[in-house]
Amino acid sequence: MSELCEDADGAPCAVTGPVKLTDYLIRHQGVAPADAQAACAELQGTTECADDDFITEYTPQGVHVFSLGGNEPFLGRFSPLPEPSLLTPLVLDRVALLACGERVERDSAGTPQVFRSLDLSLTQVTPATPGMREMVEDLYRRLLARDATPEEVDIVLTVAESQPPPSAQEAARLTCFIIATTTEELFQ
Amino acid sequence: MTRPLGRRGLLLAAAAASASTLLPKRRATAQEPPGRYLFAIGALGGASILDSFLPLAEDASTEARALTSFAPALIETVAGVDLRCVAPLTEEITGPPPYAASYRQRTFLERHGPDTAVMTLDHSSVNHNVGQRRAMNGNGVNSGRTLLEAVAARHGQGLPLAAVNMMAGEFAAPGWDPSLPAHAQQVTVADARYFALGTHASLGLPIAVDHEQLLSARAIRARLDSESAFATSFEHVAGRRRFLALRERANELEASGIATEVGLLDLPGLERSPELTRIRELLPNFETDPFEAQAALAFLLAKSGGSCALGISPSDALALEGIGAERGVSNPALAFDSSHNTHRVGQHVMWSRLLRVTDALITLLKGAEDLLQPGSSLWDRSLVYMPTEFGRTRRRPAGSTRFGTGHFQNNGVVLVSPLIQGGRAYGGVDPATALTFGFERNTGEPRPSTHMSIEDVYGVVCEALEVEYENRGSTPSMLR
Repeated sequence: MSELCEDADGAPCAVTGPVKLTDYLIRHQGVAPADAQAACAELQGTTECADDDFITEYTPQGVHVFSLGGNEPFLGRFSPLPEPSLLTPLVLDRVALLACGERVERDSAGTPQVFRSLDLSLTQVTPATPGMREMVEDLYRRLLARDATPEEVDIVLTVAESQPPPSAQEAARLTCFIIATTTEELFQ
Repeated sequence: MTRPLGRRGLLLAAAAASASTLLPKRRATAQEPPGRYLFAIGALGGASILDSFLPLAEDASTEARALTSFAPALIETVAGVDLRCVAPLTEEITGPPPYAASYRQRTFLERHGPDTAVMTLDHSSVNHNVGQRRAMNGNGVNSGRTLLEAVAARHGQGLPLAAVNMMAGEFAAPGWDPSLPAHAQQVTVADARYFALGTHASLGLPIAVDHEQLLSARAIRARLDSESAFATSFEHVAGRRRFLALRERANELEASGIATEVGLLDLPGLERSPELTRIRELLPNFETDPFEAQAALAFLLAKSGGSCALGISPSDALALEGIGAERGVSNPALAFDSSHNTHRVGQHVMWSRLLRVTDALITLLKGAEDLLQPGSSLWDRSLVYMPTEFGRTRRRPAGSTRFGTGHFQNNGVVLVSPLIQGGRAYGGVDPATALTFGFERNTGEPRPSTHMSIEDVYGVVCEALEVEYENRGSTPSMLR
């Protein structure tokens, strides 16, 4: 879920749906615990709060949950959609771009975990840049659990043929995106 | 980043230049009357028409005090409108718990009364899920198409997102007509505020993506998806083929630029819609209230030329409104179904919420000029339908204001549109039983021995919006 939360650009993401009323009052409204319990009891029309109440804290409710084949009981939708929606391909692209970009950024800032073969500090790369081919082969094994054919590697490497040439980080992110959103990956 | 021209930009350019080549595809090719808009605003949980625009007075019969009825002083009228409504229930909303029901039913009739009609009916189910589905698909009368799908099929050709459904529960369920055109399949939304993000792969991401590079990457992916061993092995698998076709349409949606026109929040590379200044005046809580956010998005989707069939509804989660001493429950848990425990106040608060947001949406539509029909507004071709699952039982302890009710088939629904003969109820209510009855289709005259059905409601909505289907029938008395 962290990707989806970041996708919402920093909006609170710890909770993606209804939360306990008392938790909400204490954390977000600065209400003392005793007062929160009293407010809960008042809402229940009793003198003592029983089992708390739920309130929809308006954080992103799994922003793309339906497009990604999920369901949301708190919106009364107990089953996933029978078919992908028009938004599904875009959301899949979006999540892949976000996840790949996040990994590239982390690997650039510290010890690389995934993008280990390519020097991510390079400002320009080409298909012949050392480490590019190994990066594609490694991503095939990670994402598709098989070796890439030489032809497939050549196709993917054309990502670095654009003008102006991409930076190493751009090439890494896009290579990851391409492989992660092939139908082979999505339908396996 | 260059801001895409977008659909609204296209419309403006077209209107200014009168250049038909700039018109959106639908407008350029269609030799037909302008499209029409449906806004389905779901009354989740079983909204009782006797608690809004068809209230019964306690002195209407000797039995009425033991039925769902109100003291005569609590029933209000508006000049020129042959509908009644319920006055603010100040005693009940005081609580506990305190309720927030700031919107007055009479205000709605004062503003939109001539366009407002009540159509009585007997629902065909008292099950929430079944009732919600049937309220949207007319019990399958049109090959299983929901109203959103039917209107999108008729008026949505060429629109990037013809049908968008943000409703809760089974109001959001798609229909089952296999012949439904692809453009009429609805998109389902979990959170209206972030909807724009789902219409574009890269706008709004925290790490910027060069769009040209993205397009190049997609072209490379397309090669893999046609040349890999997996692709050739599973070339004819129906699900994969459908997905690839969907991907093509999704890329067109992205290219339409609609993401830049329906944004409710400021995100990196994705600015809020400039319409939000006006929207905020009428829907001040759209950033924190999911229902208001849905209404804001519905308006933006219609105004931008993106959609023609839209569904919104409150959810059944408890929501609070106001600050300090003004704070109260604006959306009881279970929404209208809170009537099981607290019928009168639950219905009153939910009708307040529903009508307030509907009023705001209609006001926005009235103020939005149809760029291709100068001098007319979007509202001129719109219809609001308030579907609900069922009505509520009528019995109560005589004179009680705090009582519970169960699910019941007999009821009525609210339609609001300049396309219908509003300002009145179609059918009526029997003061001895508080049960509604039907009307004669051609004249609109009350017919105490008849009852309309959810199929009839579906038919009236379709007739007003020029949607044809086999055996639709006609109700000329309700149309302008």
